[in-house]
Amino acid sequence: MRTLSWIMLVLLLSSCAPLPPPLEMRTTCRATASAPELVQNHWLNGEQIWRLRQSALLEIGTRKIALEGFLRLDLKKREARLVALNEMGLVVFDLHVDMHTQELLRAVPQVHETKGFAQGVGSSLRRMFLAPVPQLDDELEQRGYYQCLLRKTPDTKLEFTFDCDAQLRRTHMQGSGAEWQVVYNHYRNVARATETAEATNDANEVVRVVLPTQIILHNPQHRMKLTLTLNEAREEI
Amino acid sequence: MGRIGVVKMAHRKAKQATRYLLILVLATLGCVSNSSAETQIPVTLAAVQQELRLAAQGVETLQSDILQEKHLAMFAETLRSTGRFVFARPDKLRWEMLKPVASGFVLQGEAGTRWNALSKEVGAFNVSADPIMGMVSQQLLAWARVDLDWLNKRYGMELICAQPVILRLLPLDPGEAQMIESLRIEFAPDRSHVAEVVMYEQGGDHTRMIFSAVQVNAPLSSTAFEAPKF
Repeated sequence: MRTLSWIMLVLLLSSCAPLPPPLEMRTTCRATASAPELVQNHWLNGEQIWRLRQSALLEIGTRKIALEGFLRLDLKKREARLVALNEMGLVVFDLHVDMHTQELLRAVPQVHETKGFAQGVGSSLRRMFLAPVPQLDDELEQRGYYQCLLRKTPDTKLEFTFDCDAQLRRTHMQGSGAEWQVVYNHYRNVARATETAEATNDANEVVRVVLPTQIILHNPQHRMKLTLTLNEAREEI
Repeated sequence: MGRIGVVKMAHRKAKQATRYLLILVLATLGCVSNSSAETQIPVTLAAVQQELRLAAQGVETLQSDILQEKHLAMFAETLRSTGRFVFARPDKLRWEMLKPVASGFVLQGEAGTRWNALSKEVGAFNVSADPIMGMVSQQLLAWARVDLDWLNKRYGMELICAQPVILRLLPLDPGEAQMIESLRIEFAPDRSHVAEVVMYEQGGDHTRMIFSAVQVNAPLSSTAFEAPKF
């Protein structure tokens, strides 16, 4: 009877958890980039400062919270600042995140009262945008239409998946009590204004770069999924 | 002319000069649209409020487009959203953003339904149980109804301009004052409805909501106060 109760509980919990994100990749191609190419060319390895207008959907268990957000992502300094807004444009929270810490700069009282809020959102943003990122000493594995860079320790396995266009598509951490993944979907061209283009107002000087327009963090341990959809992107000069 | 007459005349001239100066200042600030406004300016907040009450009395329904501009001071960034606003007296409301993401809520009295196209979710809320939604929806209702009694209870009010009427509201509730520094409400020239609201937040950000293509007392769609289905 006790076993049955446990099975029921597990089934109930798993049915309440958000589903893992889909990772759809082109399969009619062959991924052939070298490890240095993968490490150097993925979008998070740049030095740009991005101003990203996003919609965020946070799912915890069966609860869903939708917000509008503005993210300033400084890839050179490895820091991010997210301002989340409600329907009327009121700031719900303003959070600064770097490689190791997060600081809640402003928040409505309900957010202030939520224990662990800054740490939870901060670690999610860190995993999506700042760390971990592929390194040159990661081990390259060819898997046909995709490639992986692997970093293993006795307790953990960290896997970066790249599609056949050498775009970073997934960061997956397993082991040592940690289980989460970030999926980067729908890469699209985004106009990147260079300083020359700003000065001359010359459309020909605008460089196109690709950014993922959907980023999903899935943490089954905490039954949590955070989906960010990119609405507008602009580079800060 | 005796000494008393000279003093009286000087006093009258000084009064006249002060009045012209006041009009000049108001005109410089963009408050007065023409010189004949001198006689139209109700000088007290109470008089203006009474005019607003009278002008709004005949408004049963309102519909308009919304342009919402969020100014983030720290980033010198303006985020624009567009949507629709519908109101029916006494307490029905629809606030709907259409771009960049469809989201919004409908309200009838204290009970509301909100939605978001991203989550594809529609959920009920009650203004007394959800303080943020409560504040937001009660604000919108008060603006739509020109409910000055409600606004007077919640805010200290200053008359910034008489034509068009512009009011500055300062929250009296300490909780609200933690978030909102002040509100600037501009009425339409005929004073029957609100044309623009600017919400100044503590911390330097502000949100401007511009109501355009306003239709007063036009028939409403039968689904005006229903949430969309996903």
